[in-house]
Amino acid sequence: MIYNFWDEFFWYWYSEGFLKVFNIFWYFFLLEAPRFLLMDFVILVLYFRNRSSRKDEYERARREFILENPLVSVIAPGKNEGKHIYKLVNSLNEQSYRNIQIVIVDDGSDDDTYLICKSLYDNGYIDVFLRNDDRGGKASAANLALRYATGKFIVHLDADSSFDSSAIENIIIPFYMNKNVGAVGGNIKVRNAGKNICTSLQSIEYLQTISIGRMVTSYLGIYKIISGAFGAFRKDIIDRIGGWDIGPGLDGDITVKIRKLGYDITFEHTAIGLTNVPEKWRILSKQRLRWNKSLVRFRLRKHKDVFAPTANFNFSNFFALFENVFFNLILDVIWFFYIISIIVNNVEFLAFIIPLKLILYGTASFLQYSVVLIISERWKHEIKNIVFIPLMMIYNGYYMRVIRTMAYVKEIFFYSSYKDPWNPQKSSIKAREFGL
Amino acid sequence: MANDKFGKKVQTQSGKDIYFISNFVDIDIKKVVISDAVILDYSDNKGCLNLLNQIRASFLESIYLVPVFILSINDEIDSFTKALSDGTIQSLQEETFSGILNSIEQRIKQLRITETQDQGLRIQNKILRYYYTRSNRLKPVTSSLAHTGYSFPLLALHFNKENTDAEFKLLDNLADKEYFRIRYEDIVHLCNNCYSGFLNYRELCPKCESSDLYTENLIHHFVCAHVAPESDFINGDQMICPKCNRLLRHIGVDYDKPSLIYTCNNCGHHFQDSVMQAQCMHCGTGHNIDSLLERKIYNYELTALGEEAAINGLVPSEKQEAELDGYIGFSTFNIFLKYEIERIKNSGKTSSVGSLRLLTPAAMGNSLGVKYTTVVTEVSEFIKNATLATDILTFINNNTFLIISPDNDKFRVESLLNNIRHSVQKLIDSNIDEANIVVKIKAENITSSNTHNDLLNSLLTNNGAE
Repeated sequence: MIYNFWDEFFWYWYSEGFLKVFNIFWYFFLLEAPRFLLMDFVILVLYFRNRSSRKDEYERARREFILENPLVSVIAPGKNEGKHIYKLVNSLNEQSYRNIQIVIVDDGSDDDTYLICKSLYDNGYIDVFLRNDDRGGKASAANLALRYATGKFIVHLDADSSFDSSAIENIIIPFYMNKNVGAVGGNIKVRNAGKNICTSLQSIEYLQTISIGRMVTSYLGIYKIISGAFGAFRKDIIDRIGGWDIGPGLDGDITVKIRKLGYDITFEHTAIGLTNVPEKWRILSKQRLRWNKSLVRFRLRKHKDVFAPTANFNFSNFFALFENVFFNLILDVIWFFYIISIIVNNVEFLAFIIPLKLILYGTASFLQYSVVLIISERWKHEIKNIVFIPLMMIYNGYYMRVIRTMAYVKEIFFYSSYKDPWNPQKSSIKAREFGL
Repeated sequence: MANDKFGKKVQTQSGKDIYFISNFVDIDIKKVVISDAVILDYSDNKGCLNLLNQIRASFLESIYLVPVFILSINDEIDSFTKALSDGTIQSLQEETFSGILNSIEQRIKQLRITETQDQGLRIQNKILRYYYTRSNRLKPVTSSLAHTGYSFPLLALHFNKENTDAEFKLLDNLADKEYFRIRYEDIVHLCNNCYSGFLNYRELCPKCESSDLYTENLIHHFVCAHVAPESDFINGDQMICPKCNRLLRHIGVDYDKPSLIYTCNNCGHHFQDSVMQAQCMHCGTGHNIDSLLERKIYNYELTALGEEAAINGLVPSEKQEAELDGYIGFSTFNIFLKYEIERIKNSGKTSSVGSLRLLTPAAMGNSLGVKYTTVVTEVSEFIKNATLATDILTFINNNTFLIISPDNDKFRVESLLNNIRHSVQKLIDSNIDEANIVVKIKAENITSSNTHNDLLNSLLTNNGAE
């Protein structure tokens, strides 16, 4: 029976011809494959060729950095993150670059975070430890850390992250490669990847969208979000813009604010940090709802001026946000019409369409992941994820798309990010009142 | 009132030699011996306290036990003078203090002559005897002149600030031996280097240990999430956010103050948890608060055991206890007694304790010497043979045998002790010619409601069958 199905499957598509395949999978051939497969491959080749040709420049920048030996303030704001702090400061104390000031802010924790941090502070593992008895939210905690950080550069971390020993050195060097660089994004990978299917799929997603995706956008000059988990900023610039504004989505917001000042934003794939991702689907869904709402709140509302043809119009800023909005929001809407039209017009052939869709997307994912493995320093570890690649079509194509759509609807129509308990209400009320 | 070389003798109906001293220059302290009591004029309060200190500092019982009254017209005297004297009077009329005087004299008469070269025992004897004759508590007084902030005036005459530790040990020893019952008064924190109670508590910078700090509120501006010290926001008489230039009008609505921040004026370090340090004002040592010496201050009340010890005087009795074959030390006996009380609580059985005491007249003192020791040894042997193997025995104060009789009621112990008493009395009468020794016995049931102190007090009070 199986033999008969595949016989029929191949016979059907052979007889229909490529035009039919294209007609049905135009979304893949016209939009997704060129953007996420072809363009990624081409840009990656260019990215590495460019890097190779700038080896001497990189060495010069590295020497300049080491000779200057500037203080780098590493700030980690967080609530109830005490259990992760020791791992974090331990990895920071192992850094190849030593002139680091570690600033930890406990944003109103109600567990034993204070005791843990106090003990680490008393024993010299932390340079500055600050605590807000009343929780003010992530942005206020980061701003408090910023106020008392004295380094030339600020590295913002999530407290549940840890870092390769060369991470701080590698994330600062780009500032010496190009004096117009205002901020550098680090490469965040998943620490708890093999824990279950949920974390394994997120690990693949991080490798594809952060490791590869940001190399591509960085090369194109449209890199628009420095992850809050690991990003470096010039202190003078971040002071000038007044630090972080109320989130959720404050990391994308601050990146756009720095871009608007005319500074370059770049991604450094060798500055590697590991973070824990949600292990339960419910928590992952809440996290992604929050992340996706920020596209509407910040890209379409707060920074809508980027799209306006004013005197301050900047094409790369426009394109960076447009690409983001187009591939996430606009294509999302188109995708639903596309799927409905396929189902309606080809309902009797769905048995042949779905397997081909799986083959196409599966092949694309394998190709993308092969590139990840080729450039990864941890490929022996990350190759284990390959068994989960077939599920990525469901994860990215359906699960994430549904979450994204829900987030957009909730934010566009109900401003629901302002009700998110991730931020204290006292701040959200004011942000809503002033349209921030 | 007749003039005398030692103050002025007060005319009394009782004929007692009571001297009133108002001129404290060149007073010969030894002349106190000739008086039954002295009255000091508080008009010269310094001279008064000085002489009082000299009297109480003596190791001669005939001096330090002499009743001393303070004549103060307005009835106000300092706490040291009050603690070392026997009362304040407003006139020299004998009847105003005769009651106290007689009581002290009666108690002094009960004291047996004792002599020891052991300095520790001499002080213990002095404390026991002084407070026995005064029916008073050994109470601490607060004083800015005292090294720890609290002073026990009688002890302060023998211990200076360099040996505060020895003073504490002496008090602990007296309480451990159950001569005194302690009552909590206060707790003090002392320098662990010199025991001084005068400490300067300071907040220090955790980086450079400077105490030159200033604190500020942190302000969180809700709209823009800016957080900074209050001084960053102050603009004239208003508060303006340095990030978004908005006016901060209303705490709780526009902004809040989530915490405090310290800044060190010496090194510029910012921090929220200062280091608390207590610096000793005497020796200059800096201490973490946790490392300060914590000392509970009690007042001390003589127990029946303490009264016994005061009357008989302390001699190196612990050795003697240990030397009696088949007898255990008093501290071990106490443990057994406490254990027995607990056992009774759980089992509901009846046990009892008893005492047999050899009471010699105070005037006889230690004159019995070797004969008495021989008698005690024989009596102890007799008691050991007459009691059960399960009975627990101890011998204290050179004159008292105590017995715990598990699972036997007081009537059985009383009967046993009664038999022993007759035999012991005969033994004493036949061995010591001039013996005027009275043998007293007493027994009590151990019940679950008893404390070991209650039982000992009952057994050692001056009553019981003769």
